[in-house]
Amino acid sequence: MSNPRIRETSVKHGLPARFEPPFGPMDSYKTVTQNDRERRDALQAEKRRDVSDETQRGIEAAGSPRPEQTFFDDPATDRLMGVVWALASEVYVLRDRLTVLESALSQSGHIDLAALQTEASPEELQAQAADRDAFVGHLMDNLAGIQMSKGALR
Amino acid sequence: MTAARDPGLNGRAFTAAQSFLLGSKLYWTHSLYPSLRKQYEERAAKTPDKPRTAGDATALMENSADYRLYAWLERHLQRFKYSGRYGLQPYHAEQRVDLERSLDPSGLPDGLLELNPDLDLPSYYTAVDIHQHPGGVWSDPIAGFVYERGARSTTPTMGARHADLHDRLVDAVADRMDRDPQSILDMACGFGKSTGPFYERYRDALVTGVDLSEPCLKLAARTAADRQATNVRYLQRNAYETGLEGESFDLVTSTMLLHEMPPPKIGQTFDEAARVLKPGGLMAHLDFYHLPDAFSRFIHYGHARRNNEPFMESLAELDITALLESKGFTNVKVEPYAEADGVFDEAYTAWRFPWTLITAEKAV
Repeated sequence: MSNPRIRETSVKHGLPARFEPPFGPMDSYKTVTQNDRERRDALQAEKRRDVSDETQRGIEAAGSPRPEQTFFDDPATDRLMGVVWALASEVYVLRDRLTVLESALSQSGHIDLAALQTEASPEELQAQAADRDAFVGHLMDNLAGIQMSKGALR
Repeated sequence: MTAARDPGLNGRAFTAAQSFLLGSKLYWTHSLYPSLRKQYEERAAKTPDKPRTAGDATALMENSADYRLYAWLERHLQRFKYSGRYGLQPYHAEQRVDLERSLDPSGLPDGLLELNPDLDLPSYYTAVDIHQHPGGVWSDPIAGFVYERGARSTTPTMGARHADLHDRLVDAVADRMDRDPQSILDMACGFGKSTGPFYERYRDALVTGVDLSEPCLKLAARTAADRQATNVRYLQRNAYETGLEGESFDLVTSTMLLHEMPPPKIGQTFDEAARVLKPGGLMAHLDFYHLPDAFSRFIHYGHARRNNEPFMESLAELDITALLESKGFTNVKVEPYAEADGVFDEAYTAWRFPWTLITAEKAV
């Protein structure tokens, strides 16, 4: 997953003393040059496989290296926040889709919407306990740092 | 490059994801920002020297976990809005063929749209993707659609109950003019959102919109044609070199132009406005400028960095009044601008842009 083009430097907390534009001193202005166009064409020709298509398009659109903005002491935290928000987006998309499906199935008489919204009985909860525990274990066993294969001694 | 189609990207998923992001932004606006301001005030009260600059405020807040989360969210909610699986760019790219076809200018009325494929785009305009819009607002033929959709939630504090920001500008400008303008120039008109209220209110006036972006101008022209407007034209020209006839306009406006330009170009833009205005004509720029304290500067300059806006800070540090007076303008006014009802109330604590209306008259 290494992508030096977008990770070569970090700007702490997104707040440098001043945002220096990436094209030279503030009083230096020129129009788009042939070199700029050639650079962009070269980037577009270079197919990279280590990121998703959408991220690849973003890299090509940027056209030149830009520093990653980080806001936490460890850049991994910034990136994990992104993972969390991407997952949250997917959860909301799923919730929305589920709502539409429930509505359609209820209107066609295939499900009883009210039954879906009442409390689960103790028997139902008991029946699902093993599945719940497996879910929780899958999530929380990671906190223990247990190694699952023999690796190097040091 | 042609990428494989994302099977999970559809209209329903797009609107759900964008709704989630808007909800997140509203929480940021109405909850995280006010609590951050409160934390700043508590810290500032404990320091012997009152913070005076953005740097002073940064020193107080940069290690705050709340500030770091606030800053992360400001940058990345915008990134998710434009890029990524359910972003504006990939969603519109999926509809590229139809969208590009809808912009075919061949059916437009004569004179509505004048493009200039040979126009040199300034490097400051092309070097940074403002608003985190991938490729900027100019490079992709569908950029106008992406920008238009994104602009609908640029200021989430505004609700349907409020008159739109741009309608309010027309009202504010009308209050400053003795009679209805007959000729209006809208600099950096984009996809025409700022121009529309002018050509719809002043039906007897000829309204000219200029912009650098061909994709935006095409969308502006299509929108005007759909509205059957006959008193507007869109030209692909640079605001500080319009090539338009001197002393030919009663009113020159812009909305969110100045903060996209390096200071020397702002000066040139004022020169150009002075050249094309009739004596006694009015110039009005709606932009981000009024920052009354260290905290608001700290927040605004951080926003600039996080949202790819390299010239917000330099505009805010400019002495606009002195610059305009040095260029011969009179009756210069630089005033905070209410983009919605109630934003100046003491009880209003949510985040907002530092909207400012800058007006000046060309000497008679």
